[in-house]
Amino acid sequence: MTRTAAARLLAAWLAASILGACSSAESRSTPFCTNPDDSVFVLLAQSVPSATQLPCVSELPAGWRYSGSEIASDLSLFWLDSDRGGIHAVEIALRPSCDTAGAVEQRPAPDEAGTTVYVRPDTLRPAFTGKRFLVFPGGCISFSFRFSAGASSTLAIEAIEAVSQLPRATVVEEVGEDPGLILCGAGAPPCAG
Amino acid sequence: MDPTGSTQDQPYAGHPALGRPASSRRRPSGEPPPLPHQLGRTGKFWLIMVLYFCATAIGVLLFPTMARYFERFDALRQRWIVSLRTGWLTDVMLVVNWLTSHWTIRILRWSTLIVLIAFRRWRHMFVFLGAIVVLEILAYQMALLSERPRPLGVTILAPWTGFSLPSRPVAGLAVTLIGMAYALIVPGRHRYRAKWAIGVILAVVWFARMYLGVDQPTSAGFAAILGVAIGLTAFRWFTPNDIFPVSYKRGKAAHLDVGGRRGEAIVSAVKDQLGLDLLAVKPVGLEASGGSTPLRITVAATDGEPEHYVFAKLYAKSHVRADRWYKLGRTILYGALEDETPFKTVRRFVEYEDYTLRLMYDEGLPAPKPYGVVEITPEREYMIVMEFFEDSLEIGDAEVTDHVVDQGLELVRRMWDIGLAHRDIKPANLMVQRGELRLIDVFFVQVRPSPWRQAVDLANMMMVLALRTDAPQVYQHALRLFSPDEIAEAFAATRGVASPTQLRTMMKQQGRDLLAEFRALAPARAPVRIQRWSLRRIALTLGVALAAFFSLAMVAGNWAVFT
Repeated sequence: MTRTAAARLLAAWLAASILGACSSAESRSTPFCTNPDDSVFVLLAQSVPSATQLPCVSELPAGWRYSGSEIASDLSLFWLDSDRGGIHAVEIALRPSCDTAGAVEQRPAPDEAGTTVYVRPDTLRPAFTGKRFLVFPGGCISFSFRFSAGASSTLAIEAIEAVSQLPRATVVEEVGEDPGLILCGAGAPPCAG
Repeated sequence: MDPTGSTQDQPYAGHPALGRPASSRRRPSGEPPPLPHQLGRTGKFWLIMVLYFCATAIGVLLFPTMARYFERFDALRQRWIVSLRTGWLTDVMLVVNWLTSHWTIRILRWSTLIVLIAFRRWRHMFVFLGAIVVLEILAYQMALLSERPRPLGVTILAPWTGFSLPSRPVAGLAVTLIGMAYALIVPGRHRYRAKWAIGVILAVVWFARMYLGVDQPTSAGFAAILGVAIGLTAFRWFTPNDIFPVSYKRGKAAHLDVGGRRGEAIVSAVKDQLGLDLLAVKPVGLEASGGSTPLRITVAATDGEPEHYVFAKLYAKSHVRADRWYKLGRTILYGALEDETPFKTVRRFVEYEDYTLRLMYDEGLPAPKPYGVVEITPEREYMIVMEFFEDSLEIGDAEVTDHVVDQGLELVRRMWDIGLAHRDIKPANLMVQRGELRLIDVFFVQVRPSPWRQAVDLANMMMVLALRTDAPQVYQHALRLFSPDEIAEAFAATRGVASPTQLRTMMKQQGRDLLAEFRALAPARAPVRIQRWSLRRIALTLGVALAAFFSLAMVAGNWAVFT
């Protein structure tokens, strides 16, 4: 391979990497509820140390795709793309608390036991937008629906069923299996500092 | 014809005698070149540190036991540091942590860019930007790969984003500070001190990040090493001090510093390769030269020859790149008429000039006598050495007699006859030495050029000669060698950018429209179209426009990642 060709390949790789960095994925692996030992859950738990529940993906229905996450102190986000609802059709957020003003309380689904559920549909046409809040001790998980124009609002049910909660205590237990390591926050022994 | 009246009557015989100079020396295999391309000891040290950390990171990823060991090791150290927390120290550490905030790093980066733009230090600017882009991409991808959570067992007191290995804020600060030191501070004592100061700052930031529980010792440490190593390697590799010194004196970026190690390398290289003992190397005519570093070299007296000067042009890789951009610009501006292939290496670049010099000299044109090419750093830096026209004046400052006018016109006629074009006829390239015309800078000479280019040479020569005389006088002399139709063609082909900037500036200063004066003297002729469109030209123009658009879009789209 000539130097010029190598330089072009390197430039292409750099360009691809830069463009890759445009997607705000902080984690490539999907946070499946069945993998509580995944390090992404440790980071989620560190993001909101008071939260007793963590959002996780139980099963993705056909046409849905996990598109990445952004995890930071006090706020964690992840997104689901839908072939009908569009890119980032649903944004799932974990926060210490949520503003549920204007939302209506709803009976929780069986896998949402221990949470208080609020819903707030914003618009139905031309595109469905709305919010759903799961409030629990120490935190809140919110769903923000922003579907493409013409997409059915019933897609929201698919998204709600795709996302579940993982008790923080499970992650604390996973980390604690290694002597000398403690995941600070709710359900854990007190931490230094 | 003997237009120079000096050395042209003797066949070219090498220098100083026929064949290989007696005192030259062949560099044996394995011996370093006069100016070796070096990364430096500290550069190698930082690269080794990065490799060590990368190897460790791979080990951690492949072997979970090793990962747990590192995690426990870090947790233990961190808990001890956190045990030192007190109210006032926490406040101090939070202030120190501001150094790693988006805004601090953004302000530092933008300030550096503004200074580099103000001083037109483009190379340093691109290396600075490149180092940041590479660092940000690497750190981002590594964090995704490592998936290391934030420190365990301690309360985190500062904001954070994403996985912790490597600590992206620390890496970003490190590459920015190192970039600033290398792009803004003059090498020497000040830069040495700046590097120590950066070391202290990074150590304090490293401690603060651990104290606040936001980064593990290894995450922050690796990030600092990564940032320093990338910044240092990028600047040492692409802007070595010897070639691209940071200087706040005015001057063209194309000119290389010929003091220090390079100065010594030039002396030893010329001695070894041409057999000449040098007494002094001095840059000359920098203001008129943008494509190389012109030098006047004093050669020591020998048994057969007194002390004298030779002229040299130093070329580096940066000149090849500049030439590539220049030709791209010309192709876009003029199209098919200037269809040229750029040089790929500096070796080819200098070989071509050596060839044109020898060609002109062999054809009896008043060009300098060539002495040969000198290698300074293989494939990176070469010098071409030639005769120095002592006691000569630029034609714009010299007396232009009828004899000089005739010599200028004969020069163009001769080039037409043997199928050459100089393509850069301007006052700075025409010297008068003891009443005789001399032609310098033959780099742009083209063999079998387009008829348009040859016509432009004639028009430019006539205008240069008329600067110190007048148009009717030059026109009358030209009629002895060229037909009225040929002169009419020359002025129909020449306008605006076809003439060198220096020539146009001098005409403007004199308030003379020589082009119009000559056109009035010559038979009427419709202008020769300069702008020619070809598929290549359209593709190049579109390519450049698209590249500019995508570059801007990329920077805008990745603003958050880079800043």
